[in-house]
Amino acid sequence: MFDRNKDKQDKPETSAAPAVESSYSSAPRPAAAASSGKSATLGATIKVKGDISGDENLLIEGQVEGTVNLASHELSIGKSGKVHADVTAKVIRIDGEVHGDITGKEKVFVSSTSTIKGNIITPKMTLEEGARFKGTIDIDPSHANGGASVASFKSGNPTDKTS
Amino acid sequence: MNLAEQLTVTVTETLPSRLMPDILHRLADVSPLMVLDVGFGVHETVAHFGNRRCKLHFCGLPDAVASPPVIAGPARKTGKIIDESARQEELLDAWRERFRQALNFSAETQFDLCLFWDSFNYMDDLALKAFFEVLHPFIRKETLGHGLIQLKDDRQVTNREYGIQAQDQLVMHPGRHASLVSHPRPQARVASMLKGFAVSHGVLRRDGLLEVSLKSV
Repeated sequence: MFDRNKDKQDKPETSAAPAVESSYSSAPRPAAAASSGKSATLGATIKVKGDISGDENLLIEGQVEGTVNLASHELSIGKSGKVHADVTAKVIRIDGEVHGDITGKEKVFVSSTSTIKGNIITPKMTLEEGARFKGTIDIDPSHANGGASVASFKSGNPTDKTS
Repeated sequence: MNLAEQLTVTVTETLPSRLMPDILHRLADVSPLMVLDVGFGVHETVAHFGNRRCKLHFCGLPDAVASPPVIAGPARKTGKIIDESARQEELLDAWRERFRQALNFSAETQFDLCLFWDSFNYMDDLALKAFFEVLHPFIRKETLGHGLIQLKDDRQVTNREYGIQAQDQLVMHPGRHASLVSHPRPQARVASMLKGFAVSHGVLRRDGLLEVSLKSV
């Protein structure tokens, strides 16, 4: 599904992929997923319906409907990427389109080319200069190891309020 | 480029704020800080609040007020005065519904800070009244606010997007809603329509906008 080894012919999954475990070998690295470890690319013509999880970095340039969970790795949504899913990753960079809740365990970077409809939960958030954002950002610098969750976010006002 | 675009800000500018420092100082120890920004999230605002526990809600109000609601329905056959009254009530209801969609927060949401920027100026009296009615359940007795009131017609102060660069410094980006119609009004008239808020302090800025800090009442 991921166009990692371009000389090999992986079959694109165009629909009904209930749970996609990413276990492909390393490929050219996505520019934004530049830390150590494996990385994968979901190409611009690829469409996935279902859940994506894995233990390597991922660049999405195609279309995804479902969920994306890379809790220990980096997720990049490229300019051509269209994700209609709740996404979770250690670090998330968004250049494309996301409709869904976004949980970055360490950091979320939103570029000026992105279109987002959903809530962002992260300890550290960067909105690129020129970017405009409509939605909600839940920032908790003390949860750099991923203590926050969409569930707690949706429950409304936290009870630990002090003033 | 039309005349409105020529007259409005075309580059990002910073401008000092006399009232924002006090507002932010009073909220310094609130955690998590619940912020409503009725505009769009911009780099500076997110960076400013990014080092503290907070929830930033950006509702993109310019999108919601870009066009007035269309009132459908047959013309009434009662007297003219009653007709107009009924039409106004329908329009008010339509604005309320428009803002319910824009302010679609969970019921328990309570804001500590409302950044209205210059949004007052793009709503006519009915829309302004409806907006604050819909917002009212989400403010609490300690909620503070900030806004910029346009007192007279001046295209140079419209179509801007604001953010917080520092405690005492706002940032002003070129807006993307040049077609929005502005409604200059005296402070007292605006204040009378801000349900749940009262003007705490006002400072007339050099560009003619009245910067106001608000407190809930």
